[in-house]
Amino acid sequence: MPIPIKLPEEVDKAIERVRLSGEVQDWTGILKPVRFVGQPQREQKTRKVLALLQKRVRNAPLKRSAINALINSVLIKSLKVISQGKRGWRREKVRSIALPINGQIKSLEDVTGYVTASDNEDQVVRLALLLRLMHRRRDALDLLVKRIRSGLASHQCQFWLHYLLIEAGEKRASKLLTNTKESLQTNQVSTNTVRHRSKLRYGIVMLTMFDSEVFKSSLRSLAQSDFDGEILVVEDGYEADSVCRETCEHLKVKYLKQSQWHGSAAAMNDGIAHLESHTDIVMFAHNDILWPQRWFDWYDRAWQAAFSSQRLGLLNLGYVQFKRRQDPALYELFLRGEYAHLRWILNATRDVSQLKDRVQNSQVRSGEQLFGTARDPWNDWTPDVRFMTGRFSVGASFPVESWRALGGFDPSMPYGFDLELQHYCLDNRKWILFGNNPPLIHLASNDTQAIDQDRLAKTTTLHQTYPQFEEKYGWQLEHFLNVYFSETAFIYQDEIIRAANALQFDKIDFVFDDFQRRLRERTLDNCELTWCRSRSNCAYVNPA
Amino acid sequence: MKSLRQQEKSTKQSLSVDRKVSAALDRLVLGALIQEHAGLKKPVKVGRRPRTSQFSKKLIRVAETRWGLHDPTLSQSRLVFLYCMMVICLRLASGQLWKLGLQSTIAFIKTRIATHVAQHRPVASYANTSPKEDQALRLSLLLRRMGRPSAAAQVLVDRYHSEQPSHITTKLLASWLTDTGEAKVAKHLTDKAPASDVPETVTRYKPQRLRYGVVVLTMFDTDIFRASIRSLIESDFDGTIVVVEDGNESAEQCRAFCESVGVIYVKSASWVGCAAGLNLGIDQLPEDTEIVVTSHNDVLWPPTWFGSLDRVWNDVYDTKRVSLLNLGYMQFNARLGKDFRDIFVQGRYDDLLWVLRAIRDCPDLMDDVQDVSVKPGEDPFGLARDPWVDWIPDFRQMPGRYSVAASFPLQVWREIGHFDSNLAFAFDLQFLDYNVANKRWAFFVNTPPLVHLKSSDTENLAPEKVNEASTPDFMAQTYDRFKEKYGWHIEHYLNLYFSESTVIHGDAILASANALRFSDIDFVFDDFLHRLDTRVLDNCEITWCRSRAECPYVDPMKPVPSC
Repeated sequence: MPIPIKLPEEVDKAIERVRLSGEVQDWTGILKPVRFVGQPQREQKTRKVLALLQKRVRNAPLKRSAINALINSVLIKSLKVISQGKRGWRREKVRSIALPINGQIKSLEDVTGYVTASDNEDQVVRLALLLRLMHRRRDALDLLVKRIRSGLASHQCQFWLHYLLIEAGEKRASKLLTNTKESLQTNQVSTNTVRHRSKLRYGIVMLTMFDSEVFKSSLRSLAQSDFDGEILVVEDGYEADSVCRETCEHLKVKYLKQSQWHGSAAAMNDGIAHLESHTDIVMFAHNDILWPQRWFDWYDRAWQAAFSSQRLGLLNLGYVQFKRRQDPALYELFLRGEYAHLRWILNATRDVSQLKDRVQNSQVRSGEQLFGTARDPWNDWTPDVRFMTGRFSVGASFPVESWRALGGFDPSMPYGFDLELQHYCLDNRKWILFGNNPPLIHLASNDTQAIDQDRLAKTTTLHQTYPQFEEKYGWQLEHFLNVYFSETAFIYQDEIIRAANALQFDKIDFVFDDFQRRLRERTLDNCELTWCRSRSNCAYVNPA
Repeated sequence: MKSLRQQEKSTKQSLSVDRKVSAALDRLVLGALIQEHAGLKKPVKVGRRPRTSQFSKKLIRVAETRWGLHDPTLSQSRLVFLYCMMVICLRLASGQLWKLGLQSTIAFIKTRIATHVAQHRPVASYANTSPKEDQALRLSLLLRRMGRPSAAAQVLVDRYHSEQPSHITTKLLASWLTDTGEAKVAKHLTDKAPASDVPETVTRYKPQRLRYGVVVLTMFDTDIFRASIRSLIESDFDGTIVVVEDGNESAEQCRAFCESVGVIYVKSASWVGCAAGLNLGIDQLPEDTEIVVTSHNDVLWPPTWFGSLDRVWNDVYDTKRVSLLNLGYMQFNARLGKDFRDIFVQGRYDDLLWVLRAIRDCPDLMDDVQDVSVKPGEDPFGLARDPWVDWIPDFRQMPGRYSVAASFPLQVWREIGHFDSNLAFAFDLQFLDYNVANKRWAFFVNTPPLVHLKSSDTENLAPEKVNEASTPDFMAQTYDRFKEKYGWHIEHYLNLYFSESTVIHGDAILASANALRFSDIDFVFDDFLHRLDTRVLDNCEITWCRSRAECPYVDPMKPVPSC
């Protein structure tokens, strides 16, 4: 029988303050935690307003009248102003939680938290972080505290409590929590993953610009996964120094530094040229993805099935994507390399209608055993009736032979090597597909936010991708992409998926002909893609 | 000369009919437009109110062109004014005065304002660009479900007027016209509809070594049941199919159909429930059958599913570590709309699956469809979810138990001692008991999902009929019998396994099972048995358990009350 733990009084008080802060955040939609440490008067006043608000909601008549709603919104505003001072007058980007109907305020009692049901605390952590995302921060905190007090193993919960205390400015209390350092390091110890051996030889080229924590976590997860091949990090010349060298050497990964900031195409060329000469398949990988421990056998299975046919031109790995601003705790999970937790939470998020659109996925669907067409998370959006099958994943692989056939990627299209590959595939009747794999987790737009925008604007060579593509291949980029991914591939996706999974690629050759015909015939007059961004300046006005 | 006149006459007639059809289609779109803007449940029958409908049309046009209804940057106050005015005027004009309740009007206006930008986005309809009708059909069904009936109707009308094939479009338009009181034109459309393209025949998959049989339980000979059987016959399945009709009706309702399509038919003498029905069906299978698939009578089968299932069984059959493989499915009910039922009956699996998945992709609609299938990266095995219990927004977790189509070795059924007919609603738990004793597993497999139109048979049962037949209360009987047979309250037993042991060890189960290292997860069975012994109300965290109020496991020292 575990012995219940009593937390130090100071920690208890800090927890009460963080609870209050969480409740204020939930009611008002404030993004950052409110700090009450050292401000007892403000804390007291906030408590009073909050109690009043809760009482009103509980006693609210069954039908919400306009007056009631008005009074409640005044109270919520007061809560913001009292707890935050002047800043409370600002309008929040995030909406506050909807007022509970019929006075039912949800409580932790309704949540099956698995606090004492298991020695394994995974479920507690996952549910606590999900509660947080669902604007139930108080309950999230209570769940963690409950587990810690239960006396069962609680390293992870202690870490997260420590994290929440720090986030709310409770540094002294957080120091009093024991074992945090130990728990911080728990997931950074490398595990001995059994590596899957393959007949084909694989290489991964990861492009990076900064030695960020995200990059380190990404590379660590890849190095510790079951991947059996060569990993090469190419650092673009954005920084003069070799900033990523140390990380790469520490993880025993090959490293290459570009002398200048040339963009991805040149970096990929250099990277591929430096891979071992007998490499069959090369993968381009973003530097902000968390890799599952086991993904390589899935990837290898797909390539093994289709490599010899020479009909698979681009195999994308499926991924799930979120943004850092969604919740700093998710970002923390990413840095800690907690793939399983993050995957569970992101999946669960997609099951909650209010949160669904915060996480994008680009994966095959059930029943698609080897290949699928997935979706393009930047364009495909069912509620707006916009459809586009997946184009180029954050982990996209192709035969080295294709790169050779292209004569290397054109460096005058600094961010267009993916487009060149797609063009090559469609021209040579090679398929662009997504594989069935445990999803990679992509922290979207991480590096690009760190780039100096002025410098980017001044580096004119980096903006040549679109015009260069048009000049080289003779098609406006949007026209080329939309006609294939939103017309041809979308219209024939059932046929493509069925034939590809049966490895009967010849059966769907007609799709390429269809695409070429559309590419020639599609003009503004007969184009139904009303959401196309280039519609206002479409170059294909007259078929003649 | 005469024939020329006749020809002229017939041309004139056909032109006049075409004009009539066009006019009816215009009215259909207008009716849907008014319905959409006024927030009415049913489309307005424009033909019956030509004047007020024309007024409504003008009002909408003015709102769109002069008052900037389509402008996404319109100020909040203008939006409120515009929508209030529109809704009130349109409801008055459509003669639906009783729809002017303040609450419903305010709620509708609020929704319209919140979704203002999305409502007016133009739709890429694929009406002209696709030689296949699939896209037009799918998009129109989706748009209708999204509360954009006018856009839905417009997609179909565009398709109808295009030069592309429009067999399905015409049928659907006819059905919508009938709903708006345009039965004559609808009939004309149906008569004129071009022949449908012949569906591609699927090659049967020859199983590598195992022999299969499917047992389908039914109570009525409905069009849903027939569509289900047809889709199974037309799929890649290669084995025996047995239909068992329960004895809720004395007549053999399904015999004629079954015989016409060449499947084995057997009738229960009395209303005996699922477990006994399955036993009867399995007894009809050939002696050498190795794997039995039990199925509901309201599932639409994908064209190819059998090959995937056979490959998995082939891998694990000899290991004797797997007792049950469930097929994943997408589930909806008739409330989703008549159109969905219709395309189910027409056996349009791909279209139905696409629309159901698209509905799952819309945050506002996603709860109308349940997805009970494995996730990407789970192959061949996944745990899926139980659609009746598992509900993340309420923090209820339960992996899938027994699918609408589940397969198991016939030998396991024999070892279980056949299904217990007194466990009508819990015969699947016999597998769990067997699995725990024999350390065997039940999973969902990665196959193309079936489409399940839930409760289609049970909703047909009239309550009076149930009483008249003096049928035993299957549910109460199941609970009592389970307690008697296994010594545990059903909810306690299944919640502990599915919502505790499996949820807690889910990651480990999936990782080991997909690597076919079943012995690595044997500890889960011990964990379950330990939980069974120690879990009482005081230490139970499953707060949503239905039996919590009358939980018999109050004190660990107290003996379990006998039944």
